[in-house]
Amino acid sequence: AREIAAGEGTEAGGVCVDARNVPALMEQSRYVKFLQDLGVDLSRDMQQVAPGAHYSLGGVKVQPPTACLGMPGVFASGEVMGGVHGANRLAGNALPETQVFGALAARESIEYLRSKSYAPVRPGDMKPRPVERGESQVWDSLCLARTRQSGRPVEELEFNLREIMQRYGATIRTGPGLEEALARVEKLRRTFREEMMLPVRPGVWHPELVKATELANMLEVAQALLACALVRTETRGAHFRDDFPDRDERFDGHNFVVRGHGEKMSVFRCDRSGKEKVQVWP
Amino acid sequence: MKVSCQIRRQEPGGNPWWERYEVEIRDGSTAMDLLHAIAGRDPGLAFPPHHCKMGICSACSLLIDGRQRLACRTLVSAPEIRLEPIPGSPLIKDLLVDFLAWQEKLLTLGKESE
Repeated sequence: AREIAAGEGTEAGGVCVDARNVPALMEQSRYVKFLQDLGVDLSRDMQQVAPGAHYSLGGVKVQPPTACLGMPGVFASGEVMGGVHGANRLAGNALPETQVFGALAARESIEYLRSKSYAPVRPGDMKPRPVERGESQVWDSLCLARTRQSGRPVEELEFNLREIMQRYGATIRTGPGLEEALARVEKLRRTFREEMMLPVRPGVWHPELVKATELANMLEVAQALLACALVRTETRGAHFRDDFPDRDERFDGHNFVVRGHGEKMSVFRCDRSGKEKVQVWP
Repeated sequence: MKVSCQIRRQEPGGNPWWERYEVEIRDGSTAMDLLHAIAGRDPGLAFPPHHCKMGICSACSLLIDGRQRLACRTLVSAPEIRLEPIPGSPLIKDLLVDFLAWQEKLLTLGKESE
């Protein structure tokens, strides 16, 4: 990441991996076969690589094992839930996480259903109704975007967000960088509301609408991620701060919890006991 | 390289037709890269999206020159190419089929023997 950030990467923005003399890699693995299909021969060519987001540490807070806090009847399992891996997930633990917590979520769901008495719901019982103005800010923004005759396409906004996160929220983080990123995300949220234009398509195929819906969520996650990275003024596990390159034991066992969304989002620092302690952002 | 791409298009409930696109793509592009290049000019073209981006999830399945392939791992090596949706699944639009129906059918396979 450092070489790339210093401008010493390749034209495409990566670094080269030279595995030409590693015989073990020449064995026919699925990945080697995929590269061969793309015309890349590891014994002959160097490979361009760059850091990319692979896994999401942290996530929904649960009452162990899987019950989402504040949302009765909702259960989270796998990567979406926080607290399983600590500061850094060890390689190979993501798949077992899905199996173990998937099974636990299923079990908890069944217990939950058995503990209440529900009348069975039949198709036709639940009738869709139009979303009312003011019920959902995201929905209102999407509807507004469909009425605009001109504006910014959703692909451009999504690309901007990815650029911001790759530059400021990725492998190497700094205080000023994170502050800059938070400001840009806030600006992007305003653009989403006030300038985004979505084409109106008939029928079920509407990729821009899907992208815009996802983008609304991505903006929330981005803000949460950047804010928590900003207040954790140390380096620990996968979180690397160039301006605080050492681990600070005052953060041992401390977690940051995010509440609310959009302009109302706030971050709290919790101590070892897990009791919510103090608001640290904004 | 210049590529002439024939795509079988269809609106929901309508009749299929062939549409030809002439595009310029980089050497070493995949069929998926080609589709993205075409969609840049014709955003109304529906095609299966990139999903795993490593050639294993089969979300990008297409008939490429008549053979069922994964678009993300099929290089465009000739100046002419023909793209059609995969058979056997309900068509949503153009090259995009309903995978959910296919997955649901898979889930019923074990049940028949119970």
